[in-house]
Amino acid sequence: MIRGLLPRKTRFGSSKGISTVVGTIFLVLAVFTISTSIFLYTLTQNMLYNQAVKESHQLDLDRFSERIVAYNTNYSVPQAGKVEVKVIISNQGPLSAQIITAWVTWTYGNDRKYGSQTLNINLNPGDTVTPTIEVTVPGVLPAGVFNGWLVTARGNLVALEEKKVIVTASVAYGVGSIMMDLYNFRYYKYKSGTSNVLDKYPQGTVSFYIPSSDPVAFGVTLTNFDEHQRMITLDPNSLLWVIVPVSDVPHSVWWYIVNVYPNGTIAPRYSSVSLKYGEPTLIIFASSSCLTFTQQRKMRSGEPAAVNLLLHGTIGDELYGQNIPFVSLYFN
Amino acid sequence: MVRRTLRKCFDRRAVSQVISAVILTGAAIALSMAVLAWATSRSFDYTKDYGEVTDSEIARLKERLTVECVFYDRSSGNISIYLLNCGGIDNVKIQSVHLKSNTWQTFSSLSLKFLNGTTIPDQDLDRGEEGYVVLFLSNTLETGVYYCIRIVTERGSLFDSGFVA
Repeated sequence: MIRGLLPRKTRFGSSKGISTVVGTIFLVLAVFTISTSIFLYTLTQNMLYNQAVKESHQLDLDRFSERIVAYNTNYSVPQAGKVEVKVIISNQGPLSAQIITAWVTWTYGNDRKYGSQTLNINLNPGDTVTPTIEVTVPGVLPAGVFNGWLVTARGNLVALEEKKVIVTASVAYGVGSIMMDLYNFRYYKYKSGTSNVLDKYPQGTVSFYIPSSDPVAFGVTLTNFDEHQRMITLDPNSLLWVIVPVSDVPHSVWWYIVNVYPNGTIAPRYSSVSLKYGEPTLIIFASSSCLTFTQQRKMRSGEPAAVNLLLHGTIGDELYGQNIPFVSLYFN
Repeated sequence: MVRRTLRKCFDRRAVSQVISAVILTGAAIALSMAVLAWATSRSFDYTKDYGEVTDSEIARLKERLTVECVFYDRSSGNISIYLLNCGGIDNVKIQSVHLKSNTWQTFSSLSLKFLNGTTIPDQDLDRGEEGYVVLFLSNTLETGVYYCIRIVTERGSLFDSGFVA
């Protein structure tokens, strides 16, 4: 039987052979096509990943290479709620940089506020600019501590370095260690229906013209510029003395120092206020009596008056006293 | 002679050989096509998965967030975190923010707003965009103490910062 089949096989060939060849060709093609596509795709993805890693490193490198300095910063409050920042900005790095935002924080006692301003300042390497930046900070006052920083497009934060300018004439021996901010002398009216709550506290009204129609209190911004940087503490005998140049009685009126709560309420009894070195502090004078609060009476109208700030207390461990004149008022 | 010719004409053994060869070849082709289709499908799935993984890794690598400012409002007890997308990719979404005091507190479903207070419509930060989120705390923070915050994006990047309450 088998022997009978052999010649036929020899004549017509093996059918299994053809299908094997076809199957093999397909298999080889499939393996080649698929493996090539996977290999190429993997290669492309790896290349993209390596490129991304390189870009990421470059991003970090650029960010770390950025060298922007901001110095000689001067903060001022030209109007309520606005902080004007004058600063020198210099690009000391090898790359161009863009300043996109300025931030300012303000701290006064427990009161803290902040604000930002969008900017578009471009700096080439070596460039120095002196912009004036106006930042809206609701409720800000000239007194208190300001801090600020800039943000670059690469995400770096640049601190605004403040240069403290001490007016030597104001703190020399014979004049004293406390400086008064003349241009922010302010007064407060009392809230209607109250005799111990200051209206618009702590902003008040910055003016040298004081209404005589209502009882008022005064606010003065003082800064401790002691050359030894000692703490100055003011005792209850500190007062604001208003001298009226008339011959009849009364010749003068004075307002003793008081403590005021953040909501504007005057504390019934005074506890010592300390002035830290270089930190502007708003001091309120409101009481007609020493130590305990009693509302001071109204002034007569149509009279100019000199102001003397009589400050008593301690500087460090020593007793201290200073008289600051310079302010002149007009009661209208 | 005639008989031999007729026998050759009507001999079906050769026909069956051809048919079987065609059938086997067809079966081999069909099977090969099926294997090819299956292998292509598997390789497509593999490349798709691999592509997604590498793409997400690439996207994550390009993400950079800078915390411009953290402000703790003592009166309301809220923390405002101001962010800048300084990276090389758009659509940076905030998944959660973690605050470390004694333990970690997690804040999710945060509303991202522009610096002017309007809500960002797509709730993400594109390149160069600034925005902020507010954390509503259930407890008050201790004044003067340093707190750490961690921002987690949807792509899985972490950005740490801190502030003094």
